[in-house]
Amino acid sequence: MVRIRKEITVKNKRHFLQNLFTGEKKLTVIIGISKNAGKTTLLNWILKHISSATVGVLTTGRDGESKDIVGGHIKPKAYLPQNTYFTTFASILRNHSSGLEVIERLPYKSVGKELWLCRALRNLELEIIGPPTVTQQISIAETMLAHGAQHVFIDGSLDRRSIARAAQIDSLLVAVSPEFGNKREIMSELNKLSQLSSIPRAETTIEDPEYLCYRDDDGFHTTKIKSVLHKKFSLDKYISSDWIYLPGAITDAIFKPVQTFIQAYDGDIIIRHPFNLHLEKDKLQRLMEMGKIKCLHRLNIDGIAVNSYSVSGMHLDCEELREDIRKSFDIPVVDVAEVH
Amino acid sequence: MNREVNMVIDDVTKKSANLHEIDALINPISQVGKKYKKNPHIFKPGEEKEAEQEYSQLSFLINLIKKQKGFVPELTSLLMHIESIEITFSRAKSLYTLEVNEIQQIKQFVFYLNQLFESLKKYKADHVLHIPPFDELFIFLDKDGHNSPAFHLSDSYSDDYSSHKQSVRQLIRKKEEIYWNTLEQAKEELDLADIEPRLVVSRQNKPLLEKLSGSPRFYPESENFANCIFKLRKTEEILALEEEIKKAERKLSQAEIKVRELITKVISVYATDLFSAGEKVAKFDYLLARALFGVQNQCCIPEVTKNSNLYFEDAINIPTKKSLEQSGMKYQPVGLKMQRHVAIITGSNMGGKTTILKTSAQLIYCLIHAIPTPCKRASLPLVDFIFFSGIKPERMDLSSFASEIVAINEALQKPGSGLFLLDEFARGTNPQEGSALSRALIKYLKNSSHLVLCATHFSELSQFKSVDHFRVIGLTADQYRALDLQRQDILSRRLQELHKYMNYELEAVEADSPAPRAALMIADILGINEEIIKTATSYLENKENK
Repeated sequence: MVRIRKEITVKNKRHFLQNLFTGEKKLTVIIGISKNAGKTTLLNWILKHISSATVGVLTTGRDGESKDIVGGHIKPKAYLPQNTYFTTFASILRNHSSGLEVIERLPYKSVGKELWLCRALRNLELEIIGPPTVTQQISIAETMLAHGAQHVFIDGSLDRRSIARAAQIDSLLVAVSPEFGNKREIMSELNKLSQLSSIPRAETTIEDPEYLCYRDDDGFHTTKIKSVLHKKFSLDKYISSDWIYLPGAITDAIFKPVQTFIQAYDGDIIIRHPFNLHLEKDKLQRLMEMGKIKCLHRLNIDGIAVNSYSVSGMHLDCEELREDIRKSFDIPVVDVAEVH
Repeated sequence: MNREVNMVIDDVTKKSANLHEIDALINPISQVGKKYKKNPHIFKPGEEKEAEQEYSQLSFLINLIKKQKGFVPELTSLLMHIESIEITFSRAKSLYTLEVNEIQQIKQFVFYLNQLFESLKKYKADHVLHIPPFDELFIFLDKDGHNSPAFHLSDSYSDDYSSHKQSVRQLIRKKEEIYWNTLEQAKEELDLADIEPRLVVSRQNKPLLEKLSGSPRFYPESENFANCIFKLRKTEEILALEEEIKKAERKLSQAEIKVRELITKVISVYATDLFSAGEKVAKFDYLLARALFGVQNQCCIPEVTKNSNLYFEDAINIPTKKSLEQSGMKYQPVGLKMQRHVAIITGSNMGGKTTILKTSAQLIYCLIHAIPTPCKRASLPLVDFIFFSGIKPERMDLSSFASEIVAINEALQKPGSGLFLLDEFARGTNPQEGSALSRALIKYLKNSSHLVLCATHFSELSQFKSVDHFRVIGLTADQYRALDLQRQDILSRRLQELHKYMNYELEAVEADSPAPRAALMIADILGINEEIIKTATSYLENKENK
């Protein structure tokens, strides 16, 4: 049972935290719309304000290193409350030997070094390290859950979409900062994410999502087609099907034939994940208006974390940014540095 | 050249005889087993008894696997956790203070070793793997009695360590309490509903900026054109506590090193036994993998003979069988019963002569590794090395003929008795000289202790006395006429049709029996231009008439 610490009295912060743990959610990924969006700050804030829960924390690459490897600026360390499961290098865990339990050496490496699964025996602040691939991250998250973690948070990387697209991910937190662009650009990106999160789940299961498949009067059919990204590829022969599952991405390059097909099509177009729609804002808008897109795995955005600070100096007024986002989206919004 | 004089089986032979594919089917589970598989014991002539003992253990395991369905899954779940940590054992033995993660690895090793021992006892198989239980060591490493492979430096190891640990914990807790109280006080003083230790305030919010600027609880950390950032000021008490924590942590670190030294000392006593247990598990895991291979491929336990000839019944060439089955064709098992140590095999093209050689190589490969042999029955001798000719040139500066000559020369220099598999030796030169060279080689090998199987089309070789002669039964003229090739325009279908009628069995024949001539027939079946076949036939007829 996850409890929110009593000092959180402000409604929107409580709501943001409670929302993370409602239902059967086990895996939450934090993605940033840009680098230095404040993912670690958000994760630390969440972990500081929950109690009675055993959680796991994972990262894509490194998290909590004292200096940013690219920018060189100071970065926050990962805060790990007692009982938190985490992964790191042997060289790092050795500096905290009395404060942790070593569970096992994992079969994965990061930058050629072995990763170790540990559990904090008291509150710790250190650098956590994760494996590079989504499959490995999901596998470790499942190991953490098997060891007793009730919830696992994955601090995503720049390649945020790959981890968010994994079927096992229950929800997503989006960290927003002016590093991405000005307020209009941020709002536009959030709008796009919001639109994608509104794509409903298809009521069918696809056994092998690598291949195009469809259902018509003769039943279910699987093809050998792995991608629709060929200019000469035509969907016309599937026009009379009840639904069609399109593997891979739908991009601007093939938007026109896909749009023409959908206009004449009566069934549902099913995609693997909303992030498979790699389309410009206007094209996405037009596609969404047709109301025929469904997905196998939904994009559940559980909250938006606003950070008005920009490492490169492109700061935005914190109050304006928070308020504009709150007004525009029906998703819990938090700024961990907000004064109430 | 890849071939080396002292190698039991060189890479070229391994590749030519598909031995890698046999190897790939033997999969130890543990890290130690996988490592052992890379350099396993190879049974040499003179070690027949040892090989038989190994096969006797395999036979026991094969029966156990067949009878007890839970045996393999249970052992797999334990073996998969046994890691190769010889370096850590060596460090412990040399009393290098082990790090906490190294101690965990040793605890995990002991945990699963003890479980493996218990499991083998349960299945009455503990005689196959003699490992002493490390109960006392495990109890020492599992001070808090969690009975898990995870490890932490328990307070129970030392009062001094425990008290320093408690002291650090209390100081941190105290600091955190004061910090949160300070934040709560700041909240009340500033009359705010919620604040965090780090705050961002818009420059446009003048009242809040004034409030925070005037508060002794916060200090401006930084500012920019849009916002001001404030941070909670640490009180004197917090700063003093932080200093105290640093000092306490230094003392804790020293106490912790002493605990790790103590643990290392205890482990060092067991280091040699742990090392040896790891080796035994590695061998056992490899044994289990071979037993499983035997079950999965319907293998038999061969008789390890000192005779210098081959005998096997219904042998399966696993890679060929798989390949045929993938193409929808059925594999025909083959047998061989040699009386002497040299055998000449003749037969039509596509009759499976090379497959017989490869199969023999695979069976002997299995034997020298004490792997159950994929056949119904076998009686096979141990050899010092296996040599397979008929390979593609490996070097750009050698022709295929030259490469073959260099390779066989190297093989002839190897010490001991080898298995020579000669696949159409000297086919890369003119038939007269090739035939002479082959005959000379067979004569040379006949006077050696090597075991020789020679597949050839040279009819002069069939005249050799005091060697075994075999012929692939192949395809009769009637069967050839019965083939339905008219409608088979695709090569794979033609091959299927040929495979349906081809008899791959070997029959023993007398010396001087003529070598079969079916090249034109096979070329026709494979779909070569009819005009070419006709012309070739006329050439042959003209020659015979002359």
